[in-house]
Amino acid sequence: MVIELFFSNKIKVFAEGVADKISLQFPSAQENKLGSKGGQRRLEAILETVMEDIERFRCEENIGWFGKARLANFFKWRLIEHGYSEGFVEALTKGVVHYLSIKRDS
Amino acid sequence: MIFSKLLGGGLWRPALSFPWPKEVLDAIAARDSNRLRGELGPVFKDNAQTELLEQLFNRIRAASWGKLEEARFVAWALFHTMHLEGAYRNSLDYLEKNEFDPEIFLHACLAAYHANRFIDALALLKRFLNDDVVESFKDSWEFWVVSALIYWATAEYDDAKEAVLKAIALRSDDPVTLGNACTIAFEMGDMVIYESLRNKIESSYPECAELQYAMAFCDLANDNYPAGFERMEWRYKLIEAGKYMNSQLFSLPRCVSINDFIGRRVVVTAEQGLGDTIMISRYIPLLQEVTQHFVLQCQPEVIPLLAHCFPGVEVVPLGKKFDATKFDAWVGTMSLPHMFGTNIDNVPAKGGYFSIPNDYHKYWGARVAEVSRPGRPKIGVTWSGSPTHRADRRRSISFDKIRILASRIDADFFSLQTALSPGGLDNLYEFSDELATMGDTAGLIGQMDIVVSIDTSIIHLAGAIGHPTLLMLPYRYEWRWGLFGESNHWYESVKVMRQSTYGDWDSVIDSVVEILLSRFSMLANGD
Repeated sequence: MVIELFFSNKIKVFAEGVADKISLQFPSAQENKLGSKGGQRRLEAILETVMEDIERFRCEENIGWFGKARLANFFKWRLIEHGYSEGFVEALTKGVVHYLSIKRDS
Repeated sequence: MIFSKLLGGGLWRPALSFPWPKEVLDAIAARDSNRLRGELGPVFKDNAQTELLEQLFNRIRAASWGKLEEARFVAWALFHTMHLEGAYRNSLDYLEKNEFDPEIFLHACLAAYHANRFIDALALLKRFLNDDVVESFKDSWEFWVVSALIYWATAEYDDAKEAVLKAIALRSDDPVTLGNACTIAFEMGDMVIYESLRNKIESSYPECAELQYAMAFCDLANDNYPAGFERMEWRYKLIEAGKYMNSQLFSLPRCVSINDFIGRRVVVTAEQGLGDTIMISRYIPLLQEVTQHFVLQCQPEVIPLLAHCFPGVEVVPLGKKFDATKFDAWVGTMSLPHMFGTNIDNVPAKGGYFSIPNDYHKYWGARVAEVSRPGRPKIGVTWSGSPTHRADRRRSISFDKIRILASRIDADFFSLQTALSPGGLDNLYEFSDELATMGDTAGLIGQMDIVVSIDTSIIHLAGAIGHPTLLMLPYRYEWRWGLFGESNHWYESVKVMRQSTYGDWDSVIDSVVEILLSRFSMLANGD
């Protein structure tokens, strides 16, 4: 039980850190730039590095399906705290969930 | 209903009944505007003004004041309660539909100026000022002061000087007139007028905060740093001192000397603009040395960059709530030079103190390589600042000057500002939609061979990175750049290209072109 709580906290810290990283590099106030190709391109580049971080974490911590669900949830709520729109939060969270679900251990 | 719109409400709601003092009600009933203005001071000071104004205007209308008196009072009340947009629109509306009235016109000008609508304010002067109107203002020092400020803000220098001299001739003993006239004279380089006004200020108003604060900038521009930074502390005695600050700060004592934060826990709060924050962040390592702990509150745009450049420093958005029990004192960033005893010879970190995060370096390296032509120099440019900046019309240049630059230098130009160009330049690249933070701007600057910019935060960013930069500066502008020469006390990598007379941008562009040609021929030759 203690180990589970510890691990859950580790996922929370990581997930929130990822959301914070996105917020630092593409603040919610800049969401309107997503109407342009340039803005989309910038966000995509940021998300690429974020997904690398997620992949690293996934491999190092060997998180199962429950851990992945928690990661996505903590990530989502942190984005909401940062003031992103519903559509943005949903799209990014789906992206993370999809990414976590299609990657398999090699 | 119209009053709600004037007050910026947009949505009418029933006004609650306020217990107006008898003196106010008597003045309304007597249709005595001057008396009413006097009685309202204490009322406005202690109460929510927007709702009260609505009630007040309704009462005045019910008392049948008459169109002109009502309009004059509304203009006065809206302006003095800082409903600037309402004051401007109401006054302009009256002037367009009725006979000219000097009092309403004055309030229109005051409101437009203080709302930072400088172009609109100038338009008012150009539209309505004729010989008859000038005659009606011949005894109004307030009108000539605000005219001087409007003309100065909009780079109408000769008109500014004429207006200042008229104001001084009418009221040479008024602090507002003296302070504005003194600073305008200083910036115009009219040192005879400046010295005479300065002497009067020093002898007659040694304790006037507004004047001492204004003189601080003249001291600093004259390289008299210790005195200038000390005078800047008078800003805390200005009437509007608390207006722009996080009110939570006032629950803590303010640091007044370096001893107040040695070994203590301090909230450091950014003041003025983004460029000022970047400039002052060079003091962060010094703060780390002397304080027990500090948190820096600043503009969100620069937080990621500061967090990267000063790891371990807590940087939060301006205005964010904090637990006051965890701190001992607070200090404004513009006090740090004074606290640390800065003079022109010991400004910290002039060689640069920012680095570009790898992610940004990588992204912008690839992005610039995608579009730029091999072998061509890459030049980052800015030409316009925020239009609400008080001196923007003086510091910004028309895009035509960039066209001239681009026609004389065979290079790739990259816009570093988020406002777009009017277009028409094949070799100007714009990435405003991709510049999400100052980190992006820093990353883009890092890819340039040189930056050529007007005086905005871009200069401070480029200088803080230590990147080669040419600053295109108006005549006698901004204390931090001094008054003469190409060097400055804050950034070694920034060379200052100054107007030789006010308004003369052509000579600045010529100097910039000369330097660029020389630089790039050296680069081409492998120097």
